Amino acid sequence: MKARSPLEWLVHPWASLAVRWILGAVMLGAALPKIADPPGFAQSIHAYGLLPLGAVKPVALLLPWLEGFCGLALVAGPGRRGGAAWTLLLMALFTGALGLNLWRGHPVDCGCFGAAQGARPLEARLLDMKLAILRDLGLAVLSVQVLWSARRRPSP
Amino acid sequence: MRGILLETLTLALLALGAGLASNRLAGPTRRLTLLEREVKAPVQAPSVARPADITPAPKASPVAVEAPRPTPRTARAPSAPAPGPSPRSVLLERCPRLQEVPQADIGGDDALWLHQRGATFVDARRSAQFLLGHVPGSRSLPAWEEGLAEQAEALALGADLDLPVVIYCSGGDCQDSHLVAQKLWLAGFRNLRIYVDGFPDWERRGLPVATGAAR
Repeated sequence: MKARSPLEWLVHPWASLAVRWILGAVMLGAALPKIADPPGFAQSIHAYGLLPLGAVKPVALLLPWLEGFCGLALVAGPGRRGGAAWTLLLMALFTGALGLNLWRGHPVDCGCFGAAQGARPLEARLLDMKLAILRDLGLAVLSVQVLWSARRRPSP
Repeated sequence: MRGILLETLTLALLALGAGLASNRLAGPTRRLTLLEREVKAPVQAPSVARPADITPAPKASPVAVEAPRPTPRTARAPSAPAPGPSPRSVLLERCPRLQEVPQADIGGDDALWLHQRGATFVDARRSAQFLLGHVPGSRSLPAWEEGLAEQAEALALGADLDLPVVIYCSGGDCQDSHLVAQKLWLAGFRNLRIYVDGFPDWERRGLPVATGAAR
C-alpha cells in the first residue's frame, strides 16, 4: 500500500468533508443570531466606525444571510467552492476591520455571533478582538483547504 | 474558475433575496429601515419665529449645562406670568437653546437636575432594553429600529422645541444617542443634550428606574 504524503492527507476527501462541515457549522452559527436581530448587528457594524451610516443597514441585512447560505453550501456540498470563496473573503474583511480598530486602540465588540455582550473592561475587549482575529485567520485557512481540495478532487 | 464565480454570484443573490424578504416580514423591532425618509420639521419650528437678539449658547463642551444666564425671550413665552420663575424659564435659564451646535454633552448631575425639573428624556437603546429598565418618564426612540424618523416627528408635534431634551443610551462608546439626536434635530428640536454616561450611570447612582413600556 502506497504511503500518503502530508499534503495528500491534507486534501484527502474525508479531511475536506470534515473541514467543510466545521466551517459550515461555524458560518451557520454566526449567521443565525444576526438573522434573528438585524438592528443589533447594524449597531455592531456601526460601532466599528468604518462604514458610512447609509451602508450599515444594507450590510447588516445582507451579510448574515450570505454567511448562512455559505454555511449551508459548505455543509451540503453543492456550491461549496463559492461558499469557501465567500468565507475566505469575509474572513479577510473581518480580520482587516478588527485589526484596524485594534491598531487605532478603539475597542469594538466583534458582533461575530450576534449582539454584543454587556459593558466589559477595555483590556478584556481588546483581548477578545485579538482572539477573534486569530479565529478568523484559522477559518480563512480552512476555506483555503476547501478551495484547494475542490480543485484536486471532489469530496464525498 | 468560472464555476466558482457562478457559485459566489448565486450565493450573493440568494442572500440578497432572503435579506430583503426577511426584512419585509420582520416585526417593527427587528426591521431595518433601508430607505430613510426625510424628517420634516414642524411648521411652527421656533427658529422661524424667534427674535434675533437671543443670547447665543456657547459651543459644545463636556458639560453643557451653563451657569445661570438671563432668560431668553421667545415667541412662545407664557402669556400669563406665574408668580416666580416658571419651570420653563428655570430650564431655559440654566440650559438655553443651542445656537451653534446641534447637541451638547452633559453628565449625570446635569441629567438628574433636568429630570427633576421635568425635562423630556429620550432612550435611544433597543426597545427590549427599554422594557427591562429606563429613566422614569423617558420615551423610547430606538436608534436602529424601524420608524425612528416618524417617532421623532411625533415627539416634535406640539412640543416646545426650545426646551432641553436629554438623550441617553448605554454610555461608554455607544453612539445611538447621537444618531437619535440627529433625527430630533431634523425634527426641529434645538436644545438636545446627550447624557454621555447614559443609563448605566443612572443605575450606578441608585436613581429610580422604571420598567415596561412607557405610558
